[in-house]
Amino acid sequence: MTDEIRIISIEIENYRQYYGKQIVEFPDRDNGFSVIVGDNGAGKSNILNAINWCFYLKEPHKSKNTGNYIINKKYFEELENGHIGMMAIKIKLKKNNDEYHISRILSVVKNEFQYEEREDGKVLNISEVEGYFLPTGSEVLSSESSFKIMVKEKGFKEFHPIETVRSDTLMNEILPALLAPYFLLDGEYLEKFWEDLSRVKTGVESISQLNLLSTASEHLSKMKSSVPVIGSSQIDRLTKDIKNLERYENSLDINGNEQWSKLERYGYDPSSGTSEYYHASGYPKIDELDKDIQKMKLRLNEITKEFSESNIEMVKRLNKELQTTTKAFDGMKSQLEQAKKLFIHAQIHYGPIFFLKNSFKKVVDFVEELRIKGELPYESKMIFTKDLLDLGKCICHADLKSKKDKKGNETNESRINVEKVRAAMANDQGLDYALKMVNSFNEKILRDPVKFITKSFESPEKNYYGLKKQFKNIVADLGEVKRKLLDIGDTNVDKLTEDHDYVVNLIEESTKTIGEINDKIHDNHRDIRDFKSDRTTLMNKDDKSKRIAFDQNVWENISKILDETLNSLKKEIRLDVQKRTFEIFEDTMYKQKVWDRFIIKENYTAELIDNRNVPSLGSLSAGEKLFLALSFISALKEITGYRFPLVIDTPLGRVSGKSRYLLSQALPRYLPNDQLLFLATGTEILEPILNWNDDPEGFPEKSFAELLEESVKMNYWSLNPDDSMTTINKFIPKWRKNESG
Amino acid sequence: VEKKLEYSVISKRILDKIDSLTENKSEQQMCKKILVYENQVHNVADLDFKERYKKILNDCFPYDGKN
Repeated sequence: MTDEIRIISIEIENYRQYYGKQIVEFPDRDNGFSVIVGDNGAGKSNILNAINWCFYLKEPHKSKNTGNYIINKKYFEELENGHIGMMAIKIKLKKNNDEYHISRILSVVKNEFQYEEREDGKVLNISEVEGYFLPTGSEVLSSESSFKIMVKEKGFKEFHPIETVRSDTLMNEILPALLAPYFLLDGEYLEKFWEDLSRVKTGVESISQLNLLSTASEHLSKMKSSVPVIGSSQIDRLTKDIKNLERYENSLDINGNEQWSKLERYGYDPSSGTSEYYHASGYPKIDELDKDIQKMKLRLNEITKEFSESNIEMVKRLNKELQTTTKAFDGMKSQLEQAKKLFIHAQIHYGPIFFLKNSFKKVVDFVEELRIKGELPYESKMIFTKDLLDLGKCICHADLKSKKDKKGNETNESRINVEKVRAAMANDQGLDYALKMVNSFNEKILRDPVKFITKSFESPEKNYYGLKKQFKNIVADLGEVKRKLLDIGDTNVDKLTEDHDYVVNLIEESTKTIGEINDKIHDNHRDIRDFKSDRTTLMNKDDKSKRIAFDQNVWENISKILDETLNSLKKEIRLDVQKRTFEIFEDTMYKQKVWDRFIIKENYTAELIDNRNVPSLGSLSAGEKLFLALSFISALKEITGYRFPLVIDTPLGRVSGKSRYLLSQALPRYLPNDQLLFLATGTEILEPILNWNDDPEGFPEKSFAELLEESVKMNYWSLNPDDSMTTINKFIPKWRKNESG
Repeated sequence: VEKKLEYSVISKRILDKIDSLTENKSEQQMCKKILVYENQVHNVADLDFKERYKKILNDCFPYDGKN
């Protein structure tokens, strides 16, 4: 197997957004990683599609091109009717010391476009022509649609075509189609990598080529069982017995046709009209049961998830909501009652004051008049007479000093008169009351009538009606929560429990069946071995069958070697990948040592176990899932020595700031010699990382590309879309321009 | 070119394991030739492998009637 594969250049001509010829020449790994930057829709995914189409005639990201045809629109529109349009992808590849030119060309005859008149204007009719979506009426020139691989070996100057019966099978020797999902990646695929556990099996078995051993083993079984009738009753009887036993292993009937049971496979919906049945016996049935057990386990995970999101949680949430809303209802109810009281009280209490405003004004004016005339209030009069008596002198200069006789009676007439006046005033407080009233009238209403109206009537009214409105909303909320609680019932929980028990039982039954079939196969093998030994002895005695015995012996030996190779490497590689994946993942995760181990089981189910011994693969963040998938792919590359290029579309779409930082530190370490091409948006890769989440101290405010540049050279191209004609240009990022001044 | 492409396309780990399981050069060669063939045609439907397998067997273990 090859040590190193690198894409030297890609030439895209009139393919999808790309008008004319666009060429990107990538640097070798010594000169770093590459990035093609473009906005959404600019054509990033179509670079991935272009590589896939050139190598394998596939466009995995086709859904993004809905409504468009494969040849560049502008180019095809400009082409005259009846002329041939040509679209091409040419890729130069280096594999170890050899260079390959791989090209695929599509030639199409343009005929007059056909349009459909619609309400919103006329629309070009597009239909499928020989597997390509093209304007209706176009003709694909199959003879001119070519796929060619040229090679230039080390020491040679010229390229020459590789001669082979089928050129498409040759691509398997350079970069097998089966591996495409492991080197032509997108962020979304990496994030969802662990949702389909067959990717682990395909990854381990395909990248390390164990799949070739499995296929060889199957083919050798068929070679071993193709022994013709010899004519010797003893030999032929043994052959018949061996074939019968082997047929069980491969679930075949006496005519060599596949045998099926009446047992329906798990996961097929009878209501949709699709159903599939298990094979009757042997390895095919074990294989199907194994696959279905994986599906069952995935279903169990889903059930667990559904349980946590199910009625139980919903009822809990609604009950909590009911509690909160009821509390709000009670609080609001008493507030509303209080506000209502205040509102009514204000009308009763302040209403008359408002209506008597003019009378109050008259009283105030009258009292003011008295005050101006010199009428003193009671208090002032009392102080004034007291002061005169204490002083012993009137303001009219009369003597007011006390003069008492022997009996103690006052004899000063002036003083007696003043004391009489004071006594007469003792209860005369009318003016005082009037003044207090005047003050009160002024305070309440007369000084600021607008404030009186606002405070006495408007505020209580506003408060009351505002609360009434809020109360109405709370009553509605309460009704809604109660209605939801009544509606929800326990149906989902019951159904989930039933489904859970059914799947658990089915897993047990299926596992038991697999055990029974394996026991039977084991016994069969013992019998087959004995029968074959007897048959070989008999055949070697017969000249006519000697050759067959010789061939059978070789098939047996080769089969044994390849089976042993497969079984021992399967285990070794699985455990190596398991170990290395976890080492890379843990290291990539920086300080977060929260995981204990990563496991790839014999049946290729994978699990990540945390420090509390809890499986945690399902609960990883988007960034962590992407890291684990990249760790797995890096481990596979290391262990198998198969250093294929990585092309990753939109790698950081949902990856948090912290994870971006960690990835920038890890990638150069784990891909020290491998080619890496990112197809990314500017925000993803050129803008400073902002969302650091809650973590750590002092991460720099740099872009992902700047962080990568700290340990690896970076090369940049931009996609520049303009009216159906995207061009690709090299550019220097702004921070480098700043550095160079 | 076909000759050059042969064993180099198969994982060294597999080749080494085969060599460790048998010292017989013909068996080693036959195993590797089968794998090279399988690598070339995997994902290609409707190919008759039997003829190719028989050819590989004849190349690696020519029958002289005495075996």
